[in-house]
Amino acid sequence: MKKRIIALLTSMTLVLSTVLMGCGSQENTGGTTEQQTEETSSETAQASDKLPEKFKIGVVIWSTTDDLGGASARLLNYASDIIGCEMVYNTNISSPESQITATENLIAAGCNAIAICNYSDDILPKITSLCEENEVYFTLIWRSISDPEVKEIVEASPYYLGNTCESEEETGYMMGESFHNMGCKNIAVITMEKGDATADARDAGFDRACEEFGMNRISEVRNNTLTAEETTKAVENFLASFPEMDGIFVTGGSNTILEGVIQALALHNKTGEVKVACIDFISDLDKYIEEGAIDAISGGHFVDPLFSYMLMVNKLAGTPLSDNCEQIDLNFINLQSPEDARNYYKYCEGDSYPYNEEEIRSMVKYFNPDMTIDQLKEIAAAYSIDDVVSRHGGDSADTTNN
Amino acid sequence: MKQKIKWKNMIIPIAMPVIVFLVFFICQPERFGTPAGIMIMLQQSVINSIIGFGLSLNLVIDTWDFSAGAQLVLAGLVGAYYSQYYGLAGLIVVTVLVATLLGALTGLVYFVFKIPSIIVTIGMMLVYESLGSLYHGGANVTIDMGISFLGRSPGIFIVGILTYILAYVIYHHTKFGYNVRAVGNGEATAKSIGINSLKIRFLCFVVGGIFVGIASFLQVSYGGAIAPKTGMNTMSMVFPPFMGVFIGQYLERYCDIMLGIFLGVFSMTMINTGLIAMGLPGTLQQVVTGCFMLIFMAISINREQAVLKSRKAAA
Repeated sequence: MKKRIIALLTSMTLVLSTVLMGCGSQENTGGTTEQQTEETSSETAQASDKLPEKFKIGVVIWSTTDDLGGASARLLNYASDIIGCEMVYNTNISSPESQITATENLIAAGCNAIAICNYSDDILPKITSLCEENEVYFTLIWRSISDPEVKEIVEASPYYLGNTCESEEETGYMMGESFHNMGCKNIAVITMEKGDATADARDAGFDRACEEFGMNRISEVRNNTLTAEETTKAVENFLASFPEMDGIFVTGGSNTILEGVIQALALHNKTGEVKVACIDFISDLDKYIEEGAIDAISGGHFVDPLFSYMLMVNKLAGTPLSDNCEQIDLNFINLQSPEDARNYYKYCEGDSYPYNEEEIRSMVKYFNPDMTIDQLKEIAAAYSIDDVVSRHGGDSADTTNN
Repeated sequence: MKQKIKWKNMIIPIAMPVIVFLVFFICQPERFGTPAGIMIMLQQSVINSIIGFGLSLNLVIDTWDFSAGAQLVLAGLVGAYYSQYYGLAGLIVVTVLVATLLGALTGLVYFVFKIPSIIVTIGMMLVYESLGSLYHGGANVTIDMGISFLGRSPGIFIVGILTYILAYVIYHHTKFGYNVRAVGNGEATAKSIGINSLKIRFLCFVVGGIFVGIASFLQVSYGGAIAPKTGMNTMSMVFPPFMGVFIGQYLERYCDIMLGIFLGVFSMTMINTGLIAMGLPGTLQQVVTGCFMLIFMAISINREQAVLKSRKAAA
């Protein structure tokens, strides 16, 4: 009898595994969840189209499967496929300390350069010394260094090439301002735990707007690992305790957090009545904006790592864009209408990549000797839906995201 | 004397939720305890209570299951995906089936390798989390709003009550339930009367999986979407139900353990809601919740020891 049960369970497990694997092939993010190598080769490409050596680029990132992380990984894989690099992602991070371990693992895996999305500034001195000891170049993605002491240590390192970042505080302020423009007075906030540099900056900007426009931050929920269900609960609690609430600010809406907010408001027939502003894009934004479920949203910064990646690739190829560490500033995209969202999906993320093969190649001095750091900064600064539409409006076929 | 015992059995179980309610109601009469607010808190307690019903079977026999959260997420992801093709039936059937299979798999590993449950379930949790992030490319799955009605009143209460009845019957009126309690009361004694304790432990994982499956489709319906979780993040999902079970086990001498679990979870939900109503910063909310858990455990454990000491002294 015991053997029969074991045999039955084993069979069921095999069936389950088959179902899981079978469905898993339905959608390919092009990224990985654990440390995994992305072999990037293009059979059709000419040998001269590639860099002289196949450099291995590591990325320490929270995930390559959520909306933001997945889109970034796809773009980096696409760029690596074009210029002939190999990508390694390490998403095995749950704390600032584990990011140090993740960096060590990537160094051990033979990465020539590493891009890091650091939780906080505190881990950077250790990462700097690790990279120096192992002669590995590194950059920061979606981050800038705010601690002056840490900044001095990191920027003194010849292995630190720079960072790409967005004006997080200013975006937080802009979200606050949009609440004011919509006539909101009492706003609840869903954010990350204290210590997350990005969320703290967005929070600070929002608080500044509240102070300036006389709005109240009535309550908050802080959690780094919110699910849709937990977010729905949080919003329901806000609704129950603060009937005067007329706005919800979500500092980071990916990973089903924004979906949870939308669901809770719909369950209580508050869609449109309680205004929602969010940073980070999710899918189906055109539908949500059309339904009035989202009133202000900024995001589209999945291209951020591409610019830090270019700093590393140019350095490794022996054609550095600069002898100093550089900061590349990127703008958020603000979606105002369903049409904006549809254009965004059509030209930037989803159907196409925002930069085609020629544009990617032109960012590398090895292929384009005229490329300069100022030009790269200009490309980043120009990033917007209009910018992408103006470049690819007529010929999006060559940037199709498969 | 009989009358006194009955009153005690009624008063003590409801004392904790009543005290918690009064504390917050007195502090924030305008913000806390409105009829709509109470309804929301009851609604929010259903899912964690159902997970607690499943976990309680294991905890009664001193087996820990940290993989329940990962099972819930993986089953929810697969079920939500199939709901796109088979609607509500796909969501319910697939979710419960997958969670039960995962429970069985965890139980099987425990059964075969005979290693401590904490190690087995943490290991399986990591496996299930990874499978969740591989499934469908690790993408989030959103369900159609039209099939999410079980996640709100009255659907969530109907499912909650039916699940409570199921848990009650399994625990009190089945041979399996008797055996679970027998093993919980003393494995050596249970073995001496012919109960195969290892088989019971395996079945606890399987039956627990059914409850996790029910909680999973309710969670997907309630949140409208589900995303994979990695890095042991699903472990935090089982702590509120664990707390409910601890309270339920304490209240078991006064009322049904399953009712005790619900009262425990409901009290914890009130604390969370009350702290938000008081406008406490997010970080402080967690501190207060943690302190409540510690105080409750300290009182309940020390009280038991004090009773034992006084009995020994009396003897």
